[in-house]
Amino acid sequence: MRIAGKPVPQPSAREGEKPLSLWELAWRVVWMTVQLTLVFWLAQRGAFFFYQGF
Amino acid sequence: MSEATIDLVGGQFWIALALGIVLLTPLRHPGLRRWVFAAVNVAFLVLLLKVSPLVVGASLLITFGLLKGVEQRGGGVFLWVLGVAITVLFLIHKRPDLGRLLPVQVNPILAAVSFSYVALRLVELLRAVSQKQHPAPHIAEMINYLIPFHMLPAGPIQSYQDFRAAPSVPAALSMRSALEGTERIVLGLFKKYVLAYLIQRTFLTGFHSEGLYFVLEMQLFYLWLFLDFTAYSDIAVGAGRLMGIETPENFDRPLSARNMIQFWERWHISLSLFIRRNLFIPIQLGLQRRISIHPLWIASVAFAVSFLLCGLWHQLSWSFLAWGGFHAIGLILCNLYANYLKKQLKRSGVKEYLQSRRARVLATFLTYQWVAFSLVLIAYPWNGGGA
Repeated sequence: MRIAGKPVPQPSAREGEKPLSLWELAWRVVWMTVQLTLVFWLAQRGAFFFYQGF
Repeated sequence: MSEATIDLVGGQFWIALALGIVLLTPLRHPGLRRWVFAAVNVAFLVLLLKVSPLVVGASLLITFGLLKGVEQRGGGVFLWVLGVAITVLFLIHKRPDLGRLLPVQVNPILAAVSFSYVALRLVELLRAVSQKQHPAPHIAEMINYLIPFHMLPAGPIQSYQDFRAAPSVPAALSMRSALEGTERIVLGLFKKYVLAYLIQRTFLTGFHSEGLYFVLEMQLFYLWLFLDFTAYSDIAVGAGRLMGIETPENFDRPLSARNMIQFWERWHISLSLFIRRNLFIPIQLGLQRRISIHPLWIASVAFAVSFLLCGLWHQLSWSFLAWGGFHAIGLILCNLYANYLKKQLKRSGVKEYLQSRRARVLATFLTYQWVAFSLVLIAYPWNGGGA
């Protein structure tokens, strides 16, 4: 949206926030997938050990 | 460390999170957001506790009524009723043998909602309302402050001031925020179910070890607790970000703290701030008004009382009392040493000391050892049982 030729900052855009490059997005998604794969792999082996809270 | 808290493997947490994201993200009306989040929190409790919504609703309505009474009467009988109720429920929560004397078994409910945290939020709320810092909250606000489902498992304990100051309608969820929120949740799961789990399974014996292995286990137990505890915090912060609910950070690199004061500024930050607001400062100011002794002694007494109570908040046992006392000693020594350094080295000398790499490494090492040993006090099988 533009008013008087100037773009109106969107409420979601934080100051100095760079747009995500496709490459950065891809590697972050891959890293999350690796972590989740390990979580589920260990879960299948009965790995869940529960934090004993206070 | 006695009771199991909210089971992340159970579906309730994830159903509530999915509901929270789907329902709250498009909502831009503050009142509607408040009610929808309250409904998600109540639904989570109903699912978790497997009790009638009427029971949850009635408990919340009674609490709300008492808070309104505190507001209108400026404390009085309502403050006493709520104060006694919190204390009794807290004691029952910490001593299940007391709970067994009751006709209705409330321990499973108190454990399921991690009542230790709810009790501290109630104290914050009571203090704010009775001291007229804030009016009694709207019922939906009260629900969202006392039982935010994503902060129930292990905090953080948001201050009521911060809760009130949070924007009622957050910025729209950006692609980056969504990614960062998801990353925090995944990181939390990874830390808890992979890293902490592997350390626990591979190295920890519940302190049934001896000699050098005992020393190694001491180091790894601290690391394990850090990973496990911060994992909950990561999940809470990530969930809060995805739903647009402000959720404070609870840790800031505590393993590299260079002294005990810094440690408590970085570990379980919300509890540390709660202690400062509700115990340390009131005790310190109260003593300053009544007794004319050196401020360092007053601070030492305030540290001792605050952290002994902090130990008992975790568990009503001698080992947790010793843990609190050990932390208090660490904080008192640190405070005295800081004062000594200021006198001996003056400002420029202190600056140089703080910049010294050797001093930093040694101080960080000693702090790590102090905390690691304190954890032995609570996890060692004193009665021959498991940790």
